[in-house]
Amino acid sequence: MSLLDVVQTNLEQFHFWTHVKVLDDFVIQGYPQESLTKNTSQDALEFVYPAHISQKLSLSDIDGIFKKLDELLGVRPKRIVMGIVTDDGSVVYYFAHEGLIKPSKV
Amino acid sequence: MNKLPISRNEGLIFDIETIKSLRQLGIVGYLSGTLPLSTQQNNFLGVPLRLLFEELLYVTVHHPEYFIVPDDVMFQGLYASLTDDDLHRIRQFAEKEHNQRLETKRKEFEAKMSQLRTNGKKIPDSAMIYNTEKEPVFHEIKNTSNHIPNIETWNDHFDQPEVQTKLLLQLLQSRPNLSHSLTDYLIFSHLRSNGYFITAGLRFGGKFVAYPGDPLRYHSHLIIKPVYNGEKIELKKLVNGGRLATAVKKVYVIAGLTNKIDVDGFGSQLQPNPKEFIKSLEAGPVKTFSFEWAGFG
Repeated sequence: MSLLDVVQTNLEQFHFWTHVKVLDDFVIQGYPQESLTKNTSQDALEFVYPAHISQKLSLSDIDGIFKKLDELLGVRPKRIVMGIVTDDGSVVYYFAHEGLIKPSKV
Repeated sequence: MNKLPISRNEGLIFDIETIKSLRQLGIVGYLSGTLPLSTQQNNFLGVPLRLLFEELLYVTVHHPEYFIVPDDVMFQGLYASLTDDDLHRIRQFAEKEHNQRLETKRKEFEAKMSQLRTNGKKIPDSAMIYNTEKEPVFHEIKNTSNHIPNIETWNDHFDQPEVQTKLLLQLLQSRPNLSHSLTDYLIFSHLRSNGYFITAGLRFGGKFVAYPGDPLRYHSHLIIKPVYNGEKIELKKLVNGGRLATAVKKVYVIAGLTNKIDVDGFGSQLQPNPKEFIKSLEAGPVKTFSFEWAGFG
């Protein structure tokens, strides 16, 4: 299974995301069951970039993800979700925001 | 006031007024007096205030009213780097100061005499002329010659821009890895210009911790991890940092420069005016990404 498949399955089967599909063979889009943060609306489409835990990324690599999404969507997202895959099958999800942000209030 | 004493290439401030005024500039430092070994008590420690290298550099670059005062070792380096031309200029400076004092004294004298005249006192024209022998002006003669490298006799000259430039160069050259130090500094300066207060960040596994205001009033928001020279960061570290940051209500930030700094080019570029060169670097962009746990998985 490719990283995309692993993350897609995890989102669909484990976190019950809906309308999950792979976009341009590099990022997964879908709707979470509940909005991910207080500030995002209920029906916000989320974008998940899959990566393996052993990978290394530079600042320009991460910038490239935003850039490519910008090209695909026509808008540069403020944040994306990174779905980080380990060999034992667990997937962890992290927000990657561009620039400096305030910590979200829980 | 406004003196930044250096001890072993580190800013070490004992003067409370200076500590206060630096704080108002958003320079926090950390108190390290009395019990430097039990640093968990650092809220209760006293002077001296230690400055981070980035803080020291920020103050000298952005607030020229502050000036570096070298320790003995640094002073020897300074003296060795001075040319005859520099020495001449510094002596001229001292002379100029003397002449200024003389000028003020002369004006005072003339004002006094013309006042006496208007009051009806008869004074001959010759007595109206200021005579240094009759009205001496104070001129300090130092115990040691300033031809000899002695830090005491130089105390009055450290605030001169030429001297400051040389001292700043010495400080920069003392860094084990100048390119890393400058990257750290540029990230520091970027955060500072965004209104953040910055302290050392080892406690949270970063280089800096950034607060939205004075650390005595706010909890910190950001844990800063610099990325040098376009290096790659392991995702494992991102997961580590991100999870820890979220657990303590912070954000894990990776920061770096988009333009690579050319270390070899530094020597010559820094030379004439390090302050301006550093300012020109600050104009370049600093790239930041903030990481948080997404709340699931």
